[in-house]
Amino acid sequence: MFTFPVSGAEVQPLLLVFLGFTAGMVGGFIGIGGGYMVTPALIVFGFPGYMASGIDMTHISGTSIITSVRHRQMGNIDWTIALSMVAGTMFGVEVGVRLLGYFKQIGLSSVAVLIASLCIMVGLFIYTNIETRKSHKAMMQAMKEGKDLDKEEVSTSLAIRLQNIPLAPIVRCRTAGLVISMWMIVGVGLLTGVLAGFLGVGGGFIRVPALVYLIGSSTHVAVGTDLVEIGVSGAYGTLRHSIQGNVDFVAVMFMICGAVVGAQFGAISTAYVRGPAIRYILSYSLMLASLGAALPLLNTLTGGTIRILSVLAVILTLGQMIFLCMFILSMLGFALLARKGKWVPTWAAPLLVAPAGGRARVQPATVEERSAI
Amino acid sequence: MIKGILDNQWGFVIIVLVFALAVSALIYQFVLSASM
Repeated sequence: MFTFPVSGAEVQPLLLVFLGFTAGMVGGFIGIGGGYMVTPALIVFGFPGYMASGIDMTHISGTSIITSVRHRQMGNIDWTIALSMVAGTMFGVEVGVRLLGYFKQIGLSSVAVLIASLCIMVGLFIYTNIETRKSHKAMMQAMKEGKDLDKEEVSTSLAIRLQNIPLAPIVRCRTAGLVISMWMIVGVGLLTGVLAGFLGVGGGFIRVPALVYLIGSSTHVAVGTDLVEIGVSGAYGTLRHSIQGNVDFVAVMFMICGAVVGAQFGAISTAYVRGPAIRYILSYSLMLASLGAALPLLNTLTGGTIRILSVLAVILTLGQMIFLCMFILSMLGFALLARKGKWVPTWAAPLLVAPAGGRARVQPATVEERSAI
Repeated sequence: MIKGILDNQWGFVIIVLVFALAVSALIYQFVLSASM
């Protein structure tokens, strides 16, 4: 055990290294900060709630820098989308926080916020999972027919409809390979920012599906671009928490030690899988996060009388991170086996990048036409 | 048999989930409950 100087908490440092490693790996792979997993875990470890938020935010900003650098090297960041979206997100978060304050003022309880948060996460899980299954089926079918698979497959056409809205200024996003009105990007940033501010989360798990389904970027670019956003908002959050004295930098250093390795693993692993594999893991993380939110809600509603609920919540908090890491490592393992020509599960084969490398997705055929606008 | 289970996506997900929860329960039992 180690007594942390600022918070006074007595925690096993290896647990923090492990937490940083898992959060870094998951964050680097699916493009989220992981606050909804890390903050409860830190509270379970014995840090006070306000300190847990500060430590988590500081750790997230450090991890997102590591993962952003790696994703940039892999060509997964679209700066046009990132910078346009940051503006919308910042404004949206402010609106969301004020909205929450207003609702609290008129008597909305924290239970209602928890229920809203749960509904959004369940909704996102259902949509992402169903859409990814459709894409997965289409890829399996194409594989059976002996066709070449693209690195990305999305079964919804919502993004194409939004891309066709001719609202100036129209911007060309070179890395994502699409042409879209800048207002659409700002609008999606605003919407996800309002939700994030209202629910009190970073919002990575809302932005990545939004970038894929509403803007139309590939999942890999959505992950890299979202990590830039997390870096910006994380840096601001770190500054705020540091000024208020909510950050135990020794704890953060232990977490970053694990995150340095985990984030590299997570980011590099994305090169071995196709887009739907990332979205599958994102949907599973949403499913487990929903369960993780439902247990404390049940605990609150039952007045904390059922002790097993709080124990289950602790086990699930740690379990979901271990599950996501094991899933990512399994996909990486399957990809390496496939490259050696060994057996991999039938369902996993289309999700892995073929030895020759997948082709980048060809964005809507109207790109050339609309680039002339 | 293992290949048969792994060949089903949900089978694979459930195996990994159960294993992860078991590891988590062990961490809770032997590391966290001592300090809580």
